[in-house]
Amino acid sequence: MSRAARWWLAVGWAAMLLLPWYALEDGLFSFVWLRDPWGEDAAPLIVQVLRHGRIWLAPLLLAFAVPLLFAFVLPPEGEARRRRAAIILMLCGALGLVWLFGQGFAIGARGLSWGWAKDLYGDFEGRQFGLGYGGMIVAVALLFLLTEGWARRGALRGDAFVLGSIGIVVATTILFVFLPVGLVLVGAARVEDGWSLLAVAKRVTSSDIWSLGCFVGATCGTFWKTLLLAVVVGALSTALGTAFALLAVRMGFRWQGALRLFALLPIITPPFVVGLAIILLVGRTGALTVLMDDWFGIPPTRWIYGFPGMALAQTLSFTPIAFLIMIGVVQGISPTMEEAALTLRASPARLFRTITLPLMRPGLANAFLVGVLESISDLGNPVILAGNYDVLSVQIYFALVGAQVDGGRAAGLAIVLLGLALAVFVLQAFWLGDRSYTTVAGKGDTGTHAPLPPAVRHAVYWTALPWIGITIAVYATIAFGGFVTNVGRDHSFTLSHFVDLFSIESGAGGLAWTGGAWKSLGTTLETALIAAPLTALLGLLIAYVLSRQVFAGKGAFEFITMLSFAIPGTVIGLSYIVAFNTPPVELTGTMAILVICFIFRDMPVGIRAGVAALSQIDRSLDESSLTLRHGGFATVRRVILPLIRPAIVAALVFGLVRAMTSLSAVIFLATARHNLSTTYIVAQIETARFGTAIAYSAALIAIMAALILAIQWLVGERRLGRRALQT
Amino acid sequence: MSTPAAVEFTNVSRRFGPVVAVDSISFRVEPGTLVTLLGPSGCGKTTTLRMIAGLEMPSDGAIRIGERDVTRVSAAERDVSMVFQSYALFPHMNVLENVGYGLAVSPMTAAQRDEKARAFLRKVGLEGYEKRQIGALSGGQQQRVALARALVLEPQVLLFDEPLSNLDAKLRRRMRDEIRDLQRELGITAVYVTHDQEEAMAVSDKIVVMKDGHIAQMGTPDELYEAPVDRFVADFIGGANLIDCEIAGVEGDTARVAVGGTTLSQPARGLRSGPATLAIRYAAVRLQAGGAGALTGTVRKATYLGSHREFTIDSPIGELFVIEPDLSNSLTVGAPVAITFRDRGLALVAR
Repeated sequence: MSRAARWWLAVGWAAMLLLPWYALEDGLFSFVWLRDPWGEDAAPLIVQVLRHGRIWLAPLLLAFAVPLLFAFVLPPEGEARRRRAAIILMLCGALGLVWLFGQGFAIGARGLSWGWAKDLYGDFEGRQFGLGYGGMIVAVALLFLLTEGWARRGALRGDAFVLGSIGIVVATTILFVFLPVGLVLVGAARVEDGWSLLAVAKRVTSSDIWSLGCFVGATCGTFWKTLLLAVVVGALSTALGTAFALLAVRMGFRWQGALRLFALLPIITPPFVVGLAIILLVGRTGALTVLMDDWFGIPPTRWIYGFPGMALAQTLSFTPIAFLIMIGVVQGISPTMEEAALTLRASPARLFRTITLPLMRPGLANAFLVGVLESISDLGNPVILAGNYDVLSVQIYFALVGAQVDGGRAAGLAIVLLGLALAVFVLQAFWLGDRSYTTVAGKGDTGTHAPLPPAVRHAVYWTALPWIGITIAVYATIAFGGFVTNVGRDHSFTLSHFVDLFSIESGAGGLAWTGGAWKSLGTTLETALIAAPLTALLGLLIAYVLSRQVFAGKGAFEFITMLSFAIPGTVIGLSYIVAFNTPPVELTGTMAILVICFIFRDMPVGIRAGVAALSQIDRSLDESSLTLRHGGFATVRRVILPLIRPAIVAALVFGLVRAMTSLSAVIFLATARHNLSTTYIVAQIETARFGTAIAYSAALIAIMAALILAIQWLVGERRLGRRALQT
Repeated sequence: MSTPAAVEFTNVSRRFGPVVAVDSISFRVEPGTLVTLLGPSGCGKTTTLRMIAGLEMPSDGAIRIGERDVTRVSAAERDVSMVFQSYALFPHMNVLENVGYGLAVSPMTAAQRDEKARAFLRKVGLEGYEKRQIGALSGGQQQRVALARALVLEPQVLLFDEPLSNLDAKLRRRMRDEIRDLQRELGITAVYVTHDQEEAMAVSDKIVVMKDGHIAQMGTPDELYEAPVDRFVADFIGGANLIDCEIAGVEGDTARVAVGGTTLSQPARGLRSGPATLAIRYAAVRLQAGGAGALTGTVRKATYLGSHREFTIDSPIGELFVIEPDLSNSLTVGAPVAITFRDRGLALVAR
């Protein structure tokens, strides 16, 4: 038996003998459970079976006993016996996992979970709670026994580390992406007294969602409104992003650094802050609105609430993403091709129309689809700007936290939103896929780009420069809004917002963190700092598997790992509440659920960074390490990791920043005990405390900028990398 | 020092989806010998090598190294090491760290590891380069570091994947001699992959010629050259004019071969009467100006190359490519020639 197999058997036994099997009220590390370690709440598995009558857990002991039997009582000799031992290890792991989760779902806190099971075993009395450390560790041990046995049979070149990595990624993705989303779909079928497929159909096809009434004078359904907004935002941000990309690459624009900054700012801007700044500028009492009223007598209106405001805010938010995509595309256009066209007598206008534009087309489509995806997933801007213009994400939010809570309706809306997002994602993945004409071959491409035709130059200037003006106005509002009493009405300087948020008083018991924001800021930093390394780790691990290993089902594996990026945050948040409120995995209200949510939402960023970095490292390097007696893990540690350090930094920074700016998913998961900065700020906006909100937002942006600078300075890596959405 | 081990393939196949890269091959590499896998690109030679290394797992069949069945054993657990085409030196480590890398998993102390790594650097003539960065080495030096890094483990089997293809012609010749000398000195079992038949003949005890995932022929270099089993081997090893002929009759081991109106006696090599192919080495054709004799032709192309001359001849039996070592035989284009064959350099193969 291999060392790894022995180790996981030992871990499994230790967890079953020593660690509390079920989740503890006060957490493992409070050590309150040590007062009564063999009691019903805290007992490890073996005691649960023997003393508390939870006999249904006993087969798990068997899963760890059988491999021991074959290792020590009937030690394998010869190839056939060794192979049989590997199969037994595999079977024990697989059956153990099936049993562990099967009994977990079957027997809940209120006894048997399924009606037919109750009918069969009416007198069954057992009940149980969510899995604790003991249960989780046993689950992990079983998983690795399965992959170890599999590797011993020669799967994936016998590399147990790689197989184990794939195993853990697939298992956690199923548990934390597929299971919750699947349960949402099931949730749409729930009616007062049971389940009904008809209810699903009714909820998903509801006329609120699909009505085409706006063509006959009434209002249209939410779906159409969402789609219209997304298409407009996608088109606008793509056009603007392209203009900026042309400005940066092809027109010798002088302030390149400023453009880069412009591209990076939104990454560290929480999603609703742009919307907030717009309210402060042109809302009913906004600074500009007041000026217009004073100077020209234009009466203040609420025009900003609804479609125009949301389109403006989202275009501001997502133009930089389009810019990052398009700058890669524009840079990738081979000058040689343009030179070839020039020598074939093409005029600048003809050249742009027949060569440059067609070469950019896949990139344009990509930027557009990304803009659409971002728009339909956005909750932050719509939640404060939507007015009477309903979009799906906001409807889901209000169906859960609004005046009338209706989980079934939320689930129905979530299905529609999910379907829309996945449709866009699939369109992007399969239709565009690798259809990029922009190849940087690295040789023989040393020409210069042809000049752009004058019409294009003018168009670029007249769109890009005013837009920069608007962006500057928005960010100036964010920067200074926190320092005035009330933007628009009272522009006298004050620090009172910051005092409210971040005051520290020295009292009798030493320093007292009396500011209102400390608690949420602390939770935000803590969860982000825990989540970021795990996100990077998981993302890079997947990147390694994807770019270095060949196995059946790899395409599907890649697709599901990227999928979690496409699932809108509101859907994920909703699904986590649904899935993790009950055993066997009970996480609602804990900090763990926030961390897990961050990890699975942001992991694709790490994957992209890792795949890009690994593709530059020749595969023979790991192969030579493998033939030099280093296994998969040692190879990753000693060869791969040192060579992809910039990718690690990028993944860390983005994991951190995205965790800190996340809103749409965590707005459902944050609690009074574990409140986050973003949810705190949204609560401020909802109670019209704009000054506090903008001050906190500015502080958050400053903290993130400082963190990024610190990480860059520590590693000495200048490039921030791109928000690795789609390239 | 581990004792050199035999490598044995039994009906090994490797399929990639519908593509069969290696199709049920069997062969044995004797302990302490150097065997080359030779063939055109896509013939399965590299896949075969990677299966010995454990970088690919066979779809079917069994692989043994020494006494051990390693069919399902991962690369890290096999007692083999490999020199890569790209050298695959670790760019974030210096020369000594690269060479000592494989020893890190052994129970040696750091000092012992260093000493051993230094000893092998000396063996490949790189004493004094221990602290150099990889980027600061020339191609030939990198090649030596890669060699030392593989040798330092004293593996049962040493594998070479086209190790010389990144070097210029002169250096290639020198390095292949050094590799052969080191292999002999250490008495190690080695398997070597190349597509260059001259390189293969220069370094090998035995050559396995592969084609389309099969073994076309296995033998010593002179066996392959003197007695190719088929048209492919004859053409691939040394090159030959493949001329259609007719075996008129076989007596004992000797066949009477009719080709272009002349009759030759050749070893039958198991062939029977009927159509066959005569493989005629380029240097086995003798040309005489004038054009009288049983077989005549005309010079279509003549090239002077300093060390020898090359001619292309139109003849009734087909086009013949000829290497003439005798520089004084200066035939001009259009000249009629009489064609005869030397005693060695002809072989009958199946059509």
